[in-house]
Amino acid sequence: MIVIGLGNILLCDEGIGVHVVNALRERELPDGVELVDGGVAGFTLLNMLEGETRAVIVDAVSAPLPPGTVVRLDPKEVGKSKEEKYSLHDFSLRDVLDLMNLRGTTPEMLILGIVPGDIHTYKIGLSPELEEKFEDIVEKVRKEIEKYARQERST
Amino acid sequence: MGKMTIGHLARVEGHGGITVHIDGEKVTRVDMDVYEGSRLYEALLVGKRYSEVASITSRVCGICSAGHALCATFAVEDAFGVPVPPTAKILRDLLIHGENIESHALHFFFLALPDFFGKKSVLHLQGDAPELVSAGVSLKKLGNRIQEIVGGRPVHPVNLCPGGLVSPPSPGELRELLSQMENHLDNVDLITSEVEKVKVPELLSREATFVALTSDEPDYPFTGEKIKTSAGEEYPLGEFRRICHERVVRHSTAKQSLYSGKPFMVGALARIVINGEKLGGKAREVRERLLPPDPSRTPLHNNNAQFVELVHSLEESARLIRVLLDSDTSEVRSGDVIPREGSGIGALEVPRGTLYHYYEFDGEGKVRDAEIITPTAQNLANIESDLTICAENAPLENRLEVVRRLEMVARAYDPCISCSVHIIRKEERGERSG
Repeated sequence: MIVIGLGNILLCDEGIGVHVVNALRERELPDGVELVDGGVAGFTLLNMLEGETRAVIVDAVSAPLPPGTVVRLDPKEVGKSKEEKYSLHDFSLRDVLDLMNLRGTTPEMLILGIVPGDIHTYKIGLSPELEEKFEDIVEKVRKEIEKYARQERST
Repeated sequence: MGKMTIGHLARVEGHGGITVHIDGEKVTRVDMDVYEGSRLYEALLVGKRYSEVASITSRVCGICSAGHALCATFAVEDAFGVPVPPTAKILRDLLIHGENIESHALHFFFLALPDFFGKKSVLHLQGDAPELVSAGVSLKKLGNRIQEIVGGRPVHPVNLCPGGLVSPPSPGELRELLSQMENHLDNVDLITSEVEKVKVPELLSREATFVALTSDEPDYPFTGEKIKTSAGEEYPLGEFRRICHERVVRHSTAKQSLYSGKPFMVGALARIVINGEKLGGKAREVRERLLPPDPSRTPLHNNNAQFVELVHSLEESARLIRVLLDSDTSEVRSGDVIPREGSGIGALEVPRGTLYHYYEFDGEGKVRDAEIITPTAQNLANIESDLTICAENAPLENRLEVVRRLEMVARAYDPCISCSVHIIRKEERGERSG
């Protein structure tokens, strides 16, 4: 199972997915979990996902919830692009998912979104509010991955 | 005075918009706005050590991450006089070709081909031409795989260092790449025949200035010791500011470049206009099939120019791998890097055009000042000028048609607005504390 952290680490909490996946390298994880720092992968995500049977994506998510909240999303719940157009930065994850669906290559997926505090400041490192909750966020994500991996074993 | 605003551009990296200014029935000006926030990446670099600039700048963009990392490394090597072993140079060239294949595959197959086939997006192209979409996905994957094997990761490389590379790829990995490249080269004729059927729309015709790096070597260059213009002038790299004479414009947060007071174009088409005679093999053949003898009159030829370069990058990386497999590749790094006070320039042809990184370092090797000039920042003024000509010829009463044409012209430049790093600084140079 592949776990991909996404985001731009030069834009404060926008890079939370990458920071969490890198922190997970120091934690105990189920066997067979591969951690990938996907960065600003954009369309490359399609190449990373195709051929996998199961995948977890960790990324910042915009939601009306307190910063640091970890949200579980089904790929179907990932927001539609505003228009029926194709813009890589508008929301690449949705676009990648749509193309994989058409190509019949979508792996079974879990998306873990983390609500950011600040994604507008040009800064390497997290905002104070996410920094404070970081250990807690990493642990929540780890537990979700563990739970998801266990589901795989039971099926 | 009227205005027609076209919001976010579809199928363009980042968020950009176009405003057409109309006086009566006449188009007076077209602005390309950049909505993306000010890019303060250069300021982020101030105070960082020379060994960090490649990894930081590689995070600016997921498409050109290898280009930024390499260009930053060139600048560090220039500043400290670091030699690079021949094997490392070959591997770096391979990395450049990997990025070129990846980026051109993405733009050509996913962003430009839908225009050619009159489709809204690649999702619609998938239904009509699934084999072209598959070829694009698979070429893009190969480009990322080259970067993974040479750069250590499919995006944001970690295997580059001043003086060469951290470690060489294994012969097994290189053979894996070679076999994939040969398969793709076998497929080139088929794709070319499909693309040949589509006529490039005549949306505008004008004279333009092109700029690219060049070299005295016989190879089609992506690095070079000189900057050359289509008017025939040549400048050493250190004089990059004579080309990229930048101005700040009120409607955009990116700076624009002018050469001798005029806009210019960089990218695949510019490289073919300036260095196209150096293309050989299959790439030369594809160029003759997909581009007119003088392709300089419209930027729309940039799409097919990218495909020509993609073929060149496949052939050239296969050749480089054969050279590597026949030689001792153990020495990929020169000795220790000794930082010193001074400045360095790096220049590189990345998929969208010439990229410049300039750094000033203090005696400990910490960045005192940084300047990054991206291809998109250089192209912006030319895009606006082309959009104006295109709008003048467009039926203004048909808004949808105007939008379609202007978007097609802007997209042909493959602009990466998210990485037009070049930013308006919030502080003046002298006010910096770092």
